[in-house]
Amino acid sequence: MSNKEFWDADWMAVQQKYWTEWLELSRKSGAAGVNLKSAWEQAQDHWWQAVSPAVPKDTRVFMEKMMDQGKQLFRLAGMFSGDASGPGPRDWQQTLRGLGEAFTTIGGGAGNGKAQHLLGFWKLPLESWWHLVSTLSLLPADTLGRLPSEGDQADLVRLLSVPGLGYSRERLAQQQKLARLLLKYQQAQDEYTKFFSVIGLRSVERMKRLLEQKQTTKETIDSAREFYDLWVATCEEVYTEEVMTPEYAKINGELVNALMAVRKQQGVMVDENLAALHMPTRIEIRTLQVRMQENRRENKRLKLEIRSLEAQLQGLREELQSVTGGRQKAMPRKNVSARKTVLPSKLD
Amino acid sequence: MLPFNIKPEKLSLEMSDYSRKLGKGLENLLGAGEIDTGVTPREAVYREDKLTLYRYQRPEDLEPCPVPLLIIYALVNRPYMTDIQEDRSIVRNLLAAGQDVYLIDWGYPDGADCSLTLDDYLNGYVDHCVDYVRKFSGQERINILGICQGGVFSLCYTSLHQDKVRNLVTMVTPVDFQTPDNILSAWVRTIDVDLLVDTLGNVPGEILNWTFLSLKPFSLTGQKYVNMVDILEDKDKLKNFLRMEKWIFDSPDQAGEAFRQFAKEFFQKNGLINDSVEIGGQPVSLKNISCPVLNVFAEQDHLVPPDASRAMRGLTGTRDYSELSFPGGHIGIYVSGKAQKTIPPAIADWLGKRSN
Repeated sequence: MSNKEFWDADWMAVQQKYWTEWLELSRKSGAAGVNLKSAWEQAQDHWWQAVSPAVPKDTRVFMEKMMDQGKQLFRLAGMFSGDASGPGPRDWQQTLRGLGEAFTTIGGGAGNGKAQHLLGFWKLPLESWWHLVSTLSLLPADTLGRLPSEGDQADLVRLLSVPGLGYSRERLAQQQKLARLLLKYQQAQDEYTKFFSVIGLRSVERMKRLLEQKQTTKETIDSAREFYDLWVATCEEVYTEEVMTPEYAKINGELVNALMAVRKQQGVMVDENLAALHMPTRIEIRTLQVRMQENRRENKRLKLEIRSLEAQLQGLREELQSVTGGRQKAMPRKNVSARKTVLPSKLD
Repeated sequence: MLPFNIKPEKLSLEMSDYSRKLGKGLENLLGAGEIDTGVTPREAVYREDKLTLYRYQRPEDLEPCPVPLLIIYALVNRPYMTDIQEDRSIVRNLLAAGQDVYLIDWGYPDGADCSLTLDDYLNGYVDHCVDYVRKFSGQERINILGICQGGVFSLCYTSLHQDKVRNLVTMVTPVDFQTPDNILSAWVRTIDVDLLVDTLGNVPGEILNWTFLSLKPFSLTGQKYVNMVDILEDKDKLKNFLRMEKWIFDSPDQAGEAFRQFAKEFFQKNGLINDSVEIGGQPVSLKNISCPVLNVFAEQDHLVPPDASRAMRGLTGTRDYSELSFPGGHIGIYVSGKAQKTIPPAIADWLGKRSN
């Protein structure tokens, strides 16, 4: 069956019916105190399981991003709407306290389980970083994050300071250096995560103030979307304030620098292995690239200079001819173009 | 009174509505086809390495401005932003206002280009393009429009080759890289740029993507996709969204040496303000710029804060300096409907008065 047939065969009508039925069912179960958000997520996941095999990869990426954000949107609203997933609208302050505690937990390095579930939205900046690390590495990003815990790190540092001996001395020293740099990277990443938990906590406090203001002015939030947009705006506002600080710039810089130091050391070690196999190393290729560019620069400069000289020569020939007129036979000339000014054509 | 009035029935309605839009949107996404960008007919008139110089086709019924206009775009992202679709095209609107438009497309540098320096870019590529346009048009001096980092390039180029530039327009161009509201600059200043370039060679576009997305992570990596659900049912709006999405993530790698110089000289040393930039062994001073200058900036620009651009006032050697402020953001200044109606005609009008 072709894709086209698949989508044309009343499929859209069927899925329309699916969601209409779901809505009806959710109305009934909502009254019975069922967790709407979970029911919707399950229905959404079932629908996607049925549909996604026929969806091309690029489209799937978009769809999954929209679905993930949809889940965040409704999870957030569910906590305040009075469905079975949260304490309900009357206890909104308690819900916010719970969120604040979750940020504190993550800041303390225990970001698992319920806390992570609540803070899915807040993982976005961290996920962007992990994605970047993965693209720059042969290994998945979390490989760099699974080093020993703080207590064990001290032992590891002691172990790493044991000097190597004999033929293996250099190799051991390289490995020790890499391990030390990995530890440093992990520390930088921990600082980065902690900073985000602080920003998260401040966002919750800001949100609490906003909601208290609304309570005072008797304004209400009437939809999940309205609440989500307010939450995004609040988080973004606090984030912008915090990342403007020198403290954050330092944390951000140390994270990038620590990752680069790891990558550089990995490069050195890869080069050593390549050299052992009599293959060109990265550093040799870099040297060649630099020399090649120097040569090309020089070639281009010389080409332009030759053209300039040709133009001058041509000018002199013409001048000479006008002075001598018919009295003297023109000098034999090479096949020179009649450029008056030096302008590029195609420079390679 | 409670600040929440999200009833379960209303919530379930929103959920089913979200799902319905996704379902309908899937159909539209699958039918969206190839995402085309760069809509105005053009001709490649000069090539060098990975660079291509394009000349855009002018409307035949218009008397063109005698002095051609060369657009110098940033190395970051792709220049088709200036001509992204028919109703959002600075290029098209400049042509409609009588400009003879050329544009430099830098292409995608690869590992073999990692030793390209700012000298290669400015005294090499840009200068060769300028010479081509001068030769082809028969004009001794041409007009230049520099955009964002391309604006910095055009300032440096004009400082070094003032005899070839008749009028200079800069758009969302930073001059003071260290204004207090410049987040990007604050971040770049703590990066060990030598370590970065020595390690990676070329700087991957992924790093730039991460940096730009980190400026507004919740809007740009989360909320944007919720907003996308709202437009899924409108095929045209969906296609516009997909075009922008393509442009945002279409980030060429940056030639390592040029990146090193740019980050250190401009972001870290604030070289245009401190008069400390040297390119190809020649000092770059804004005081060398004596031609008329139009400085266009966006009032809500989160990448290049307006004060970073406004700093140009009084630093150049020109006696004919003008500013044009646009009430929008860094991207809106290229693509918003309001920008299309105001920016290109204003630029063309300003150039027209100084090109005869």
